[in-house]
Amino acid sequence: MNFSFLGGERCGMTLDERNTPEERMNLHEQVYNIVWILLGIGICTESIRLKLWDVSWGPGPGFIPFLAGFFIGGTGLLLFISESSKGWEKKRPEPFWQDPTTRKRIFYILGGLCAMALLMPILGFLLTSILITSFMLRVIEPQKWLAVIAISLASCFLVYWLFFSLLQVSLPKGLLGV
Amino acid sequence: MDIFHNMQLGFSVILSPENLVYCFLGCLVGTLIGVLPGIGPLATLSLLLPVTYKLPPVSSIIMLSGIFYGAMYGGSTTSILVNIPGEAASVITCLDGHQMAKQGRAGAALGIAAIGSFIAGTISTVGLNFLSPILVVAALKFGPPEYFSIMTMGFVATMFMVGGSALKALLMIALGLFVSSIGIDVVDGTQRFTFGFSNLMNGADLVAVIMGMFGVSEILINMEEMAKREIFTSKVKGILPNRKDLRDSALPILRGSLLGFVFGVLPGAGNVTASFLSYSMEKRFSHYPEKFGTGVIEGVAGPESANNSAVAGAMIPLLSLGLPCNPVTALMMGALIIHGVQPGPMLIIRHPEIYWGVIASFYVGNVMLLILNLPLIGIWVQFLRIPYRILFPLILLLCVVGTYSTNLNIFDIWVMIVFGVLGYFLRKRDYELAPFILALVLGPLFEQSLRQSLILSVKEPMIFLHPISLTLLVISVLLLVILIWDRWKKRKGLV
Repeated sequence: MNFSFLGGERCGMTLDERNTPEERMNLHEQVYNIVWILLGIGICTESIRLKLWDVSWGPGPGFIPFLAGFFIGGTGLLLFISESSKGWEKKRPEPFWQDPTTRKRIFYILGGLCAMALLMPILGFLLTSILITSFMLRVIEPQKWLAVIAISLASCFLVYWLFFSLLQVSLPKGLLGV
Repeated sequence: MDIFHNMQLGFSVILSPENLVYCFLGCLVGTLIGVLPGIGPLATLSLLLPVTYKLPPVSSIIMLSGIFYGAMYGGSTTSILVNIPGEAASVITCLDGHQMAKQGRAGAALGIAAIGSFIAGTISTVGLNFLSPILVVAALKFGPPEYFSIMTMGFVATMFMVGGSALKALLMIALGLFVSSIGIDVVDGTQRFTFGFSNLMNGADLVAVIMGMFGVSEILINMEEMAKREIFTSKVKGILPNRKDLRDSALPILRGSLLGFVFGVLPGAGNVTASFLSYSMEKRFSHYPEKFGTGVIEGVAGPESANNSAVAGAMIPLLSLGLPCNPVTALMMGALIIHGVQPGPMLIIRHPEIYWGVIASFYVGNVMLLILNLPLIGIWVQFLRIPYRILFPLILLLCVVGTYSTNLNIFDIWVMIVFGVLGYFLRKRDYELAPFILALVLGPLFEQSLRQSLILSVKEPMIFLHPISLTLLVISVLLLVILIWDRWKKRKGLV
């Protein structure tokens, strides 16, 4: 059975007409669908271990996660079948990131965030945020050092003032005490 | 007369100097984020949620509401001037609004958007004022099966309304329900999917998840489009529409207001659907539908009125049933719960000052927004000149500190990063995040009402067949059938 009618908008065409290069099976999409199927199986397995039904309490702790897992895996499977029905793409699939610069930027942002989470308890909020935002500003779209430092200091002190001074949120102090 | 007495209470709450300031701040921030592309109302609400912890509950909801409807006002500015919607509900405004700007009529477009928004906001607030208390009376009869059924209907309606794939929307709902189930089971204390992290015993923090899904993923997505951004440099002249503009816009504003209000109330629909439908409706009613997309003022007046009207409409299910029908109201519900206030039918009895104060704040907020948007449009335009490379570190810092400040826990920053990556990958392949957030917020209540209903059904097997519950379930099934039929017809080429 073809379930693609729930997924895309492929009006009034025969299978061959539908399978224009853009409408052929997308490899990235299939990777996503496989992840959903595996995630669904994982959640259902763990939910069964947690207990789906208890004689005295009724639905057990695994009941809702099992339902969620069933729908995640089941929907992933339907999407997989729907995508497979489009047929194989003959040419090489388009890269996930069209532009290598974008990929670099994404990794810089994520790397910066991870570094922030790691360094904040050691260096404190202010120092960590100044270092990381300066790094991001410098590498993501290279700017002059003066601009980098000015934007970084302004952003960090604004957030520090808002949360620490105004809202009295206790921010990590680190070794330097700020 | 009771309603007028209650509104008196509401106005006494909103007209206190403190709440007026918070309402103004909400409107100001909302307009600003509406103007700035790359950060929507949901991301801003999640960023500012920790800011409201120190405020009284009524002030925080007044401020958050102000951000919501302020963003709807401000969203039109970028759509009209630079053809980039400030938020999703203003996408359709780009079509005619930007064309008007190209023809040198940006002022008229911005003016009619602000005037339409004001009229629509006021009409829908009157609706909220009168309809909400009626719904409260009905909601008092709701038990677990009714709550389960109405939430099921909300989920199905969300699948129905999302623009893309219904299957992907279903998957997002299931994923949201799964994430909401992480933590200790409230019934028997079993740890679910905590993977040994004691920090996950209370579940994944809502603010961290939302901040990651909307804030961080938004920044990552914007990294791909940073180079393409157009900076607005021209001047905006004459913000008051002429007499013909006003005459042409009168009916679209009225129709948009009514449509927006109805769609705001419906679970899963919201302002985005309302604005798109209003545009189609205006095109259908128009004597010159072929001119739509070339700079027709009705194409701005209708959708802008509809998306503003939907804001007050969306507050009805939240305030009277305790059910958010879109992610923004879901976040507001989260804010109320954090303050120890449970939205729902008992809200009007236990916290009348919050209930009526919030409603009254919509009237006051709309007047503030008209003042902020009409004469100050020149100032808002200046913000469009700020390049994104300067803005993103500030947004990122707000995400990190906002997440951390909820529980003062570094672990939440890791949760935010994980969900930021997840949100980014989902958005890359057109998975809608709104159904995920809706299910995440409603998850605990959905689980509780389903489990309670199932326990009750041992003694009373027909519990789901009570009139209200049955009606809601039948509507859900009908919606599902229509959805499948519609997609089937499209595939077969019957439409």
